[in-house]
This record gives sequence, structure tokens and C-alpha cells, in this order.
Amino acid sequence: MKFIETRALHEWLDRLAQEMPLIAPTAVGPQEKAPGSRNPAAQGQQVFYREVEGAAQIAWDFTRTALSAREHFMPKTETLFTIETGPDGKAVLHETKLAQPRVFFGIRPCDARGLRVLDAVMLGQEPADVYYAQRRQNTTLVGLACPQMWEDCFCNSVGGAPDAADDVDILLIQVEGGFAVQVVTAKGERLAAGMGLQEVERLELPQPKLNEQFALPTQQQWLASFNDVYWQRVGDRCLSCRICSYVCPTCRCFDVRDETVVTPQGERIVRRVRAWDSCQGVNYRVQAGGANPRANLEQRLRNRFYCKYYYVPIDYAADGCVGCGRCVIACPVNIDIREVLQDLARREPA
Amino acid sequence: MIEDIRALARELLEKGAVKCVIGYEVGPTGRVRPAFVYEPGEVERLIFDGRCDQNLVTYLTRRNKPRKKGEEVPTTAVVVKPCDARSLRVLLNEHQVQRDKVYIIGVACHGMQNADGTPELRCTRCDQRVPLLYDALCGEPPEVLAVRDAYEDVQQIEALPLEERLAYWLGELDRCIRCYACRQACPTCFCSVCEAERDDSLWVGIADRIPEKAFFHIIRAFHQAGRCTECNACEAVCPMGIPLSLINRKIAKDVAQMMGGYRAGESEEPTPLVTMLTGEEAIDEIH
Repeated sequence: MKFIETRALHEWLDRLAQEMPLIAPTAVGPQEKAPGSRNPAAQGQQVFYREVEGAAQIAWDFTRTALSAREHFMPKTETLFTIETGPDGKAVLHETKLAQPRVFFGIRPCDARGLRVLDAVMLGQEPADVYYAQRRQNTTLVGLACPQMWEDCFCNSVGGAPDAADDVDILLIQVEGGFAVQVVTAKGERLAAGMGLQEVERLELPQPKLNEQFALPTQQQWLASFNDVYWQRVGDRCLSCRICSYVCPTCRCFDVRDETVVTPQGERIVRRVRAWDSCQGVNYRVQAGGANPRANLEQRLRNRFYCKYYYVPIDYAADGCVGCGRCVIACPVNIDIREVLQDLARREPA
Repeated sequence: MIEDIRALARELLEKGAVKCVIGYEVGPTGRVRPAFVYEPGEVERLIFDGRCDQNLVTYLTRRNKPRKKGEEVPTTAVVVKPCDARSLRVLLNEHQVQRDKVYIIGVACHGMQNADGTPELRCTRCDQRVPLLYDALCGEPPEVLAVRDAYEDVQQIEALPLEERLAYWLGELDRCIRCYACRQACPTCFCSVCEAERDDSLWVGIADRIPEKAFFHIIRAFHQAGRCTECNACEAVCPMGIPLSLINRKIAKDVAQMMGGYRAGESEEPTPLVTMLTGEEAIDEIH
């Protein structure tokens, strides 16, 4: 069993940040906020995965980050290329520079697992998405196991575990005085070579406290429930905002547009922008001619659950939801995916 | 209070006077959330206490449209606090809700509380204890407090030098993820196509950069001038904890200064600031 002392880990991270971009959980935002607020986001600083300069900036005792790891592989916005007017008056196309090698430290096992869905969509078929592929290839994932399942987490009900090593290159599990280190992949081995790991005979690994497991609806139950009035009833209180999709580690819908912008130098350029989109948006499914097969709010809300638990498993053979609990916490009207799943699972199969 | 609301809801549903009662309930994990009650037997779900801070008036505009062409608009009963009633007044003035399609269950308000039991900041500034319009009033109104909003939070920001103010807002808006929860929770944001979501990017592009985000929030605030009742719904739902109410309260403060203490939703006339339409666009013709 491999082991690293806390101080040695910090020193390694400090060195690493000098060499390449280091992404890690870090607290963001003003400290003085409203600690008593009903809105968890307004209570104080939130933790995000962001580029840090060293171990001192890392939030070590976080539950889950406000946004998932997705934003570092499919950014909220990216410029795919720009078209500018060259010196001879002709159009010049500039491709966006591709990603550099980097280390993603402290990713939670559920977030790493969420990348499976993004991989399936962006890399599963030719041609692979070159922007996503580069970021993925150039990133080494160092996972940080959860010491327990947090309030609203349900990874163990959807096939995950708070200390799963399946989707990271290296997994760290906090133990007394430091971290137990599991080197999982060859990529992880290359990075671990510089960590100065100690070999120890025996290491007592903590057993993370789990939340109560619940059964998921069967495929038959999903099929039988599609036209049920249930969706209207859940949709009654849905606000049709995009919080659930944007905090989700497996949502991956995007929009692409060519936009004309004026640079600070006053030059007009065209840029092709890709940005997050959401099936909860009113215009998401609008087609040429104006038809909208998901014009009603409850149709859009229903899509979110079917996408995670019916479409993705069938289309990509991957689990569409990793049970991170972000949508549960962030939904301002308490639409709780666990409640929906349990409501459907209780139904008689058709 | 709770018993009054339940009894009234049961009576309205039994008589068939309304199809649905919108109130509050406690969800399975103990969180208070909007409740939609269709059956008289389900009124026991309804609650009312200091945790019921959501503005349910938001749900009325979408229920004011028939689900299918030709269908009649059903009548809905809604639990309304004094602050929510002002939002409803704005919607009625702007013909977004038909008065005879809504039954207003007014509640005498003792103020809302934070998760830690302290009073919500907005409630410490509020002098209204009884909704200005209702069909039935539930609960005993507490003594009216002699407070008047001094907009101290806005004044603090206004007092900052321009560079600091700019830095403050750029820092806050940087976290915006364009989820539009603020807009969706807002009772008086009801455009069918938002300027920020147009397919042709006419006003705002799709990028999640500060210029686009700032533009969206500023446009939204301007369109709320004289209409925002400072119900705080936008800020309460923001998943990034951005103090959005401050933007709208700045506008509300300026409107009050310019127009002799004007407060949104207190008069039966639409606000002259953003709804002064004449000729073929006169608001009485929009229906």
C-alpha cells in the first residue's frame, strides 16, 4: 500500500503548480455573506474546481463543488475558431490553441464517473470532438475520496461509491497523518513517480458512512410512465430554469453560434462559439418552421429524467446519473430526483 | 392560520370554485416548497409559516393560458403574502392575469425567517402586514411596524468609488452561469422570448462571458423599473449566490426618488416607466 504524508503532498502540489496548470477545489466569492440564508449558495463562499497556485489555495474539507468537473472538459463557453481580416484584406481563420498537459487534483469519484457520459458522447463515435479529446488526454485525474456520503448524495444507489477508484488515474484516501494512494492507470503511474510515495505494509482504510440505498425504476416502469399525469404534477412547481442541467456532471448539451464581435482594438471579427445549452430552456427544441415538440414545461422536465435513466443507458451503455446530489440541493423548488425515482419505482409494472 | 387556509382550500375545491390551490408544503426531506393541490382530500398537505418565503404569484402567468387551444382558462387559488400581492397587482395591471381567474388567499404576514431562525432582511424593512388585495384573509394581522426601507444596502454600494463598484459587480457576475433561474422565479419577468435567449443573438450572444452576463442582468433590471416589488425571488434562487436584489433595489430606490416615493404594485395603474404605450400598443389592447 502506498502512502504520502500531508506535508509531502502539499509540497508536491506546490511544485506541480509551478510546472503545469493545477486544477483543484478552491473557495470562491466574497466571505461576508448571509450565513442564515435559505439559499445554500448565499450562505458563504462556494467551492469550485479552479486553477490554483499551490496547496494553500485548496479547499480540503469540501463536500461537493458548486459546479461539476464538466466545466474543465466542456467549458461553459469556448471559442472554436475566429475569422479575422488579414493584412491583404483576405479572411484568415485562427484555430483555438489546444489544451496543455495539466493535473486535475481533488476530483470526487462521482465527478470522475460523470466523465464517462461525456466521453461516450464526445469521443464514442468518429469524428471525436477534438477540443474535448485534447483536454481529456492532457489531463491526469487525481481523485479525492469522500470520507462519507454527504447529505443528498446517492452515488451508492446508482452504482457508485464515495471511495471508487474506477474513473481516476490516482485515488487519494485520507488516513491518519496523510493519504493512502492508489495508482490506477499508467497515466497515474507517470505522475506518481514524482510524488515521493512511501511503501507501507499495512494501512487502516476508513469505511465511509453510506446513505440509505434505494431501488431505481425498471425500464418497463420508465416506458409505462411516459404519458403519465405525474409529470404535469412535478412540472407544476418547476420554474423551467437551467440550474439542474448546469450543475450536473453528465449534462452535455451545447449550442454553437457564429457571432460578430468587435475587439478592444476596434476590429470586427467573427468567432464560432460553443456554449452550454439545456433541455429545460423554452427554445431548446424549437425547429425550423417554429414547431416545438417539447413546448410544455413538463415535457422538458420529463426529458431530464428520461435522458439520465432511459436514453443514455440505452444509447451509450453508460449510467446517465452519478448521484452527486447537486441538482437536489440547487433546485429552488425542491424537485428532488430521488423522490421522482422512488415514486416511479413504486409503481406497478405495466 | 394553517387551519384557516386548509378549510378555505377544501371549500373552494369542493365547490369547484377553483381547479387548483397553490400554497406551500413540506417535501419528504423537510424542505418547504410550493404545493399544488387539486383534490379536497389533499388540503392537509398545505402549511404556512416563516419558511414560506417563495413568491407563488410567479406561477400564475403560465396558468393564465389555456393548455390547449380553445380550452377555458381554469381558476386558480393562490396563497399570497403582502409582498406577493404587490407582484400580483403588477400582473393584473399589465393584463397578465385575469382577476376573475384567480382567487387570492391573503395571509396576514408575521415576516419570513432565515434557515437559522433570524428574520429575513427584507422583512425587517417591510411595513406591510396585510396584502393590499385578497378575496379572503387568513390569520390575525400583527401590529404594523413603523419601518420604512432606507435602502442602506444600496447606499453602501453607491458610496464606493466607481472602480471599486465595478470590481465588485464584475466579481459577482463572473460567477453567473446564465441558468436564468432569477428570471424564471421572477413574477414580473414573463416575456415569451427573452432578449438573452433569442436564436439570432440580436442583443446578447450565447457566450458565458462577463459582457453578455452583465448585459442580461442590466437589461432585466431596467425592464423591472417601477415593476419590481423587491420580493427577493431572484436572489433567493441564484445557485451562485449573487446579490441580484441589490441591482433591482438600486432601480427601485431611484424610481422612488424620481417619482415621489413610488413603489411598484401599490397602484392600480401600470407603471409609467416601462409600460407607457399608446395608440395601437396601448396596454388595454394587449390581452
